[in-house]
This record gives sequence, structure tokens and C-alpha cells, in this order.
Amino acid sequence: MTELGPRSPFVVHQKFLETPFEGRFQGLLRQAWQERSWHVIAAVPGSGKSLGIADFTVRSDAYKEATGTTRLAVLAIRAPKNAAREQALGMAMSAAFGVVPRMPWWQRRSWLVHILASTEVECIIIDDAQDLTLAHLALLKELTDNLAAPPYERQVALCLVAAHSGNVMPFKETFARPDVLWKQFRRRLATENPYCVVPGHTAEEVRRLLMTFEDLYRSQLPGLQLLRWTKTIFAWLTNPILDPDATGRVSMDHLTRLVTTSLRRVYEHGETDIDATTLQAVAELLILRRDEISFIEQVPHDELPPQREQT
Amino acid sequence: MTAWSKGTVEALFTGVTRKFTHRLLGTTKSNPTDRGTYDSVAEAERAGITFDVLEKLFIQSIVDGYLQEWDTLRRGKRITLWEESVREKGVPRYLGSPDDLKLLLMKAVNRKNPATGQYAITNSRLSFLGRSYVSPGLLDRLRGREIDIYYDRRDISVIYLFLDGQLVGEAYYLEFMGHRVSVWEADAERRADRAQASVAATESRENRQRIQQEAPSGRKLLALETKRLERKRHLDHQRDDIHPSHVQATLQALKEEQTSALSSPRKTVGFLPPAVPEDDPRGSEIAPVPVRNLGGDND
Repeated sequence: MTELGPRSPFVVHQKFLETPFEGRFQGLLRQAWQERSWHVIAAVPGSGKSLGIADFTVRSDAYKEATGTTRLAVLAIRAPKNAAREQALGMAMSAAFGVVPRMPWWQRRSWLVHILASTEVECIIIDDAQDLTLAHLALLKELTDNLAAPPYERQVALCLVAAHSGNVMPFKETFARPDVLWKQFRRRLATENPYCVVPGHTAEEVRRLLMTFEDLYRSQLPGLQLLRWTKTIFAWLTNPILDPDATGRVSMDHLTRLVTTSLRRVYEHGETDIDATTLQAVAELLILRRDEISFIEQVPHDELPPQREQT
Repeated sequence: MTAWSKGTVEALFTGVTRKFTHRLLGTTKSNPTDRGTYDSVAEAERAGITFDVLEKLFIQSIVDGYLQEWDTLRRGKRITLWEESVREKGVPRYLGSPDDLKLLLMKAVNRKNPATGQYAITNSRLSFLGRSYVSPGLLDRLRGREIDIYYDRRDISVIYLFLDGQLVGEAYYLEFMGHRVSVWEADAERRADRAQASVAATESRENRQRIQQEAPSGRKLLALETKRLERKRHLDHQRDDIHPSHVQATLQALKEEQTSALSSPRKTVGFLPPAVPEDDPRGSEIAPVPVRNLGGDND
């Protein structure tokens, strides 16, 4: 053990990593935006969809002029939960524009079309789209149809971003129904790649990410060598428990949890590099003992939560 | 294999069953009426027909018996017809993954309990064939759901769990310690263990009875035990005079290692491969991914 004297608390970096997954995911969003096309985009939970959407939206050059004119090219919302009625989606969309004016629902339908046109919305992204109901989808079709019709004549891209599992493509069965509404919805989907699955990270991509983690945390752990554990980490994180669909890919959430928890442990033990025992213990905790129940009897000494990096 | 092959396959089984299986010693016949008073098990044991022998004879009866017969419909010997067909069309090969084929050929058992609709998953263990299988993290998620178990009778140390037709993972029988054990070996082991356990229980009961009888003379036993411990302590003191110093150091190290091994908490048995560092992680050939503040400028 290397004695380095009293150390400051371990700092978890809150940075946005342009991972290969984000490259693929944001590339799809960008393509949809440019071509005004409609897509259903699916990825496993924990792969970084919501973070990617947030980053994509922030970098979409939205602005508000002194005159009050607002431009919001990318409108990203999260599908309403436990609210099956179309009003819930309407309110979620209204809220994205700031203050929600009070008005009856029949009036809000028209207002939404107007505000979507006046703020020059070009791309609508709906996160957690697996929670959308048939009423929500019908409303989306109605709004986009009204935008495409005179006097607005604005084509809008639509990306339904959903979490999926079990090799089931969200919405595929819904849009394949014989009802006229779904036939029309299906016709509006992009010709190329209407249903897309964005996979997680391959072994080589995990190697790149570990190198990035090495660079990020080298200031706190000078001797850090994560790259040499790439094969081991990839084998662990593609375990059937973490990868039940046998995709053979690693999700960013699992990788980040394994790495940051391991690094925190070795840091708190005064080490400067990660060791096999710690890595294995954290992997077992993450994979084999995830559902274990812990009885917390000790009172923690620190009153404040662990320090996080200010961004 | 297609739906068109069904008749061919059924004809083969009918022919082999009528002309071979039911004429073999130890046959169970097709029903209890046909079997009558015939003792199938005793006859099979007398003739030495084990499962392996039966498998061999069965294949022989197909190749040397059924296929050598004349097929009146197609007007030819079946083996000749087969060879001509193979020459013309080749042997169809399985095009899927070899691992999928292995699973398809395994024996499947549905674990739905019709009475309760639940499974015997208790304390994260699944009871199957009278043995407790474990699969950390998986079994809790399967509790109360209808699963199919696939297993190969040649090795029951691992079973494969299917949920809605999809492989969800494996469960392991830890007592085999990773060794291959067939269902027949396991049953034979269990029978042998049962006999030995009975003998051991008898011996233990006799010993306990003897100890109970000797219990009244406890004072004498205490004196003998004290004397034995005292003698042991004297001999331990003399160890310095018995061995040279470097041997004593080695013995001490061994003792400490054993003590620490006994006192350290038992390592959790896991199913993760061990962490093995790579000698050449190829760090110079790859570049890290770009990093920036969330939604902000590049670092």
C-alpha cells in the first residue's frame, strides 16, 4: 500500500463522453433532423439515450432574441407516465416552451401547432417513447399533419426514442395494424432505417472508453492502468445477467458503475492503481449480488454527501 | 428436416419398434396388456441391456436392418435409395449456431407447477431432480414465472433456463464442483450414498450410546485428557531442540498461513471469470473518446 497522507474525497467526474454509442445515436438524430424523417430508435436501458438527447438539445442552437422571438429547432420531451390521455402529452409539449398558458384543451391543440411553427421546430424527439399510448401517437400525427398543411407547410422530423429488451422492436406491431391511422403513421416513417436499434459498445470501444477513464482520473490515481483489464471487464459486463438479450455489447451505465466504484474503493484505500481483487469484488457486487439486501446499522461519519466535480 | 419428412421418420420408427425393439429382451411392449406378466426390468438386467447398449443396438437395427429392406413403393432397397438421394441432393446441414443446436437436442422439462403456479425457487435456489441449482441474480427474477429447463443427461452439473422460449441463463449444481456428472452417475452415487449413510448412521448411533454409557465416569476421562494435553505441551516445547532454525522458521510460516486461511472469511463462490491483466493492452494504438462538459464547450 502506498501511503500518500490524508487525501481529499474522491471526485466523480460529471463529464459528457462522446462515446461510440453517442456517436451512433446522435448521428441518427442529426440525420433525422436534416432529412425531416421519422424513426423509432431503440436501445437497451442504461445505454445513454437520455443523456445523449439532453446534450443534442443543448447543442441545437436554440435561442431567444431580445424581441421575444424564440427559435427551438429541436424539441425534446419525455413521454408522460401513467397518463394515457392525449392531454398529458399536450401539456408535456406545452411545458417545453416555458410558461404554460391556461386554455381549454380544444384551444391548446391549435395553440400547439401555432407555437411549433412560430418557434421553427424542425425535429421532435420523445424520450421514453415506450410509455406513449395510442392516444398520444394519434395526437402526434394530428399535430405534425397540421404543421405540414397550409398555412404553415412545415415538415418536422420525429424520433421516438424507446428503451427495449428481449429483441422486441417497440411500436412495430402497433404500426403494422390494419387501421387507417396506423397505415398513415407507418407511411410517414422513413424509407431507410425506420426502426433502428443502437447497440452498446464492442470490446474495442470499451478499450477506448477505459483509456478515457484513465485520462480523466489520472490526477487522482497517478498509477492508474485500466486498459489492461479490458478483456476481463468486457467478459464480465456481457454476462447474461447484465446482458439478458445476449447482444454481446456493453452498456455505458454498467461500465461507468464498475469503473467509478472500483476507482473510489482503491482511492479510499490509499492506492494509486486498480487491483484485481477490488475489480473482482465490485464486479461481483454489480453482477452477482445486485439484489442482496443490506442492513445498515452504522451511522456514517461524514455528514455531507461525497464531493462531485462542479461543471 | 421438413414437414414432408414426417411420414418417412414415422415409418422408420414403426418398422424398428415392431421388428426390433419389441423383440428385444427387456422390452416394455407398447402397453400393459401386451406386456402381461413379462418382467421387463428383470429380463433387461439378465441380458445386460443398459442404455448405452440399447443405443448401439438401435442404431445397428436401423443401418443393418431397416435400411437393408426392400421398399415396395419406391421399388428399391432403402439404403440404395438413400445413397442415390444423397448423391443427387446432398445431406441437409443445420444452418443455425452450433450452440443453438446443442440446446435444441437437450431434454426439456417445464417447471410450471400446475397446483400452485409457482416454482420451487427458495433462497435463490432452484430445485431440480432433487438437487439445488444456483444462478446468482437470475433466479430471483424468475420466481413465479413459467420457465423451461433444458439439460443434457450426460452432464447435469449445468441446466439451461428458458423464459418464453428465450435462453435467459444457466444454473449450476455447486456440489459437483464443476465436474461433469451424468444423470445415471448421479443417481448411482445417490443410491450408494444412501447405503453408506445408513451404515454411518448406525455406527454413529452405537457410538453415542457408548458415550452415554461412559458419561458417569467423567472425572476419570477429564484426568486422562488433562494428562494428554500436558504431554503435548511438553513435546511442543521440545520442538526448538528437534529442528534447525531455518526449518523452524518454515514451520512457523506454514502454521501462520494455515491459521490466516482458516480465519479469513470464506470466499464467495462466484461465476465470474477471474480478473486477468493483459500483458500488452495496446494503449498506443487507440485514442480516447472526446470529453466535454455536459452540454457545454469542449475540454
